[in-house]
Amino acid sequence: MTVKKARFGAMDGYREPLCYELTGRAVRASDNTATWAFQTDEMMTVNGEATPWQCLKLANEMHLVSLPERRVALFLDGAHGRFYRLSYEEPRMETGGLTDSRGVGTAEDAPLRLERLVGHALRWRLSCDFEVIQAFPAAGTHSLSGSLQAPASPLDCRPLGGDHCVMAFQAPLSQGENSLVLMFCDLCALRAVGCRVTAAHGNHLFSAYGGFLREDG
Amino acid sequence: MYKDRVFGLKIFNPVSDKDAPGGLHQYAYPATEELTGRHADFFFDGYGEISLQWTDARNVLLRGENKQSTYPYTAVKADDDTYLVLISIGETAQAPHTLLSLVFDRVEPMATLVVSTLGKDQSMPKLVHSTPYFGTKTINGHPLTDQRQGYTDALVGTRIEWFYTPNDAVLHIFPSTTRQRLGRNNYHLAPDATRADRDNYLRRIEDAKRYPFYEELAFYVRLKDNLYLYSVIEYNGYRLNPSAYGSELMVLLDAKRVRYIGRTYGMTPEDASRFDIVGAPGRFSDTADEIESIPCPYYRFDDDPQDII
Repeated sequence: MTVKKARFGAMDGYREPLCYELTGRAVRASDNTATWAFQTDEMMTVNGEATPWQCLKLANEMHLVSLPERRVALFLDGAHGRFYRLSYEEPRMETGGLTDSRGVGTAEDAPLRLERLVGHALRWRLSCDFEVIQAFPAAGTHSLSGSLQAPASPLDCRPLGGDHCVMAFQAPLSQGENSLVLMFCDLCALRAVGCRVTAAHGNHLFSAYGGFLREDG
Repeated sequence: MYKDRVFGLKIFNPVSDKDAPGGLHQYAYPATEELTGRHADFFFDGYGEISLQWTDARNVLLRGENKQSTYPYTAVKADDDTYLVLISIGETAQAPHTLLSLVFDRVEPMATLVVSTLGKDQSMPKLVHSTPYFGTKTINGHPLTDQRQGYTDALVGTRIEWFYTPNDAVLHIFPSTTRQRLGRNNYHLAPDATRADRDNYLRRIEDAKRYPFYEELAFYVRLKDNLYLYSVIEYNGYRLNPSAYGSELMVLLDAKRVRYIGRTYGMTPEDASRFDIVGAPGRFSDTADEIESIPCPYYRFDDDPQDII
């Protein structure tokens, strides 16, 4: 008998196990615009309407939720009482407060100084045969490719607290279709979970493991 | 990448002011709290019945055939449905200390329990002894299946390079059903290495004179399609240097995604038992390492404990 070496698609090869910790819980935007109730491991309601969901866990009380039928990615940061939402229809990251969160943020939980990213690049491994270099040539921009010289595009990158940050950006697919990516990173462990949202091919959860490129190469 | 190992090379990070987790912990994902409030009963051939009640995210009530007690636990997921639950039993190095590593599926009935012990053999107090037991979930004492997970040769002849940090990779080689090897490294020392890094580097150079390559006792279990468990105990290394070796690494390998989550277990330099969650992404390698040309097993196990070659 030999081991099967079947592989997933390039982007979600290293995807971590799905997380069902939210099942049975409900959280609400503090401005009452949304209530997310996770009824079963597969189904939730958004303002009372049922929809499928999947989840990855970045850290305790930090969950990335994919709502594929709505083409939405949602990050629930219970540690700091905020949510972040990216919708394919409105490609701009929304954020707001959460009620009923189990906040664990502390005074020492100072946010990352993301301006330090400028001039550096991260190599992310997403599967055994796929990696990408994310370079940060200037504030609010990045490039995604195997080359540090690739053209830069807009990046919405915000600190969350501790070593965590959120990134939202557009990533064209090879077929010419656009996709949106919501990505949450631990920039000390250099580990990330993300969700790519597309119009035609659904949502794709992924995990990434990184390392900053040294200036000496 | 695994061939060159640089002792004391810091993980470059221009953004975070904290030290990186490093080691085998860098890329391990967080524990799960999904089991809180749940209950499960098991029967393991050769071990007996156990019952677990996860009272909260930290504690589990463990009932055996003759006693029950509440212990702290840690749980991680190996895939969407499979849990690894670690329960540490016993407090001191003087008395035997046991770590239970329970692997079960939230859907399928079969389960595996690995019982690992320190201090069982007082002539080798820092060497882990480990035994897998195969079993099933039960309901009202009735086993849910007669089928069992079991030993496998599926990994023999393969090798995986694990990427532990941006700086470190390790090649696990599976030469037989009872041994595991590491790919050969060339050791280097970083220019700004600390004294501890330098000592570790010099010890590895010295150890390599008597223990030229890493080959240790292992067992391999097939849990289900594309999910394997393997355990490696540093018995040869322990005979060479009891203060530096003797631990167990247990890996739950998702062979489809080529990543693992697992744990180490062993004695700290302060003589306390300790386990840690570890993990890494990896890739199967088609390129044989030079040590694979050496017949396996290489080291004898019936010789003088002081002479491993």
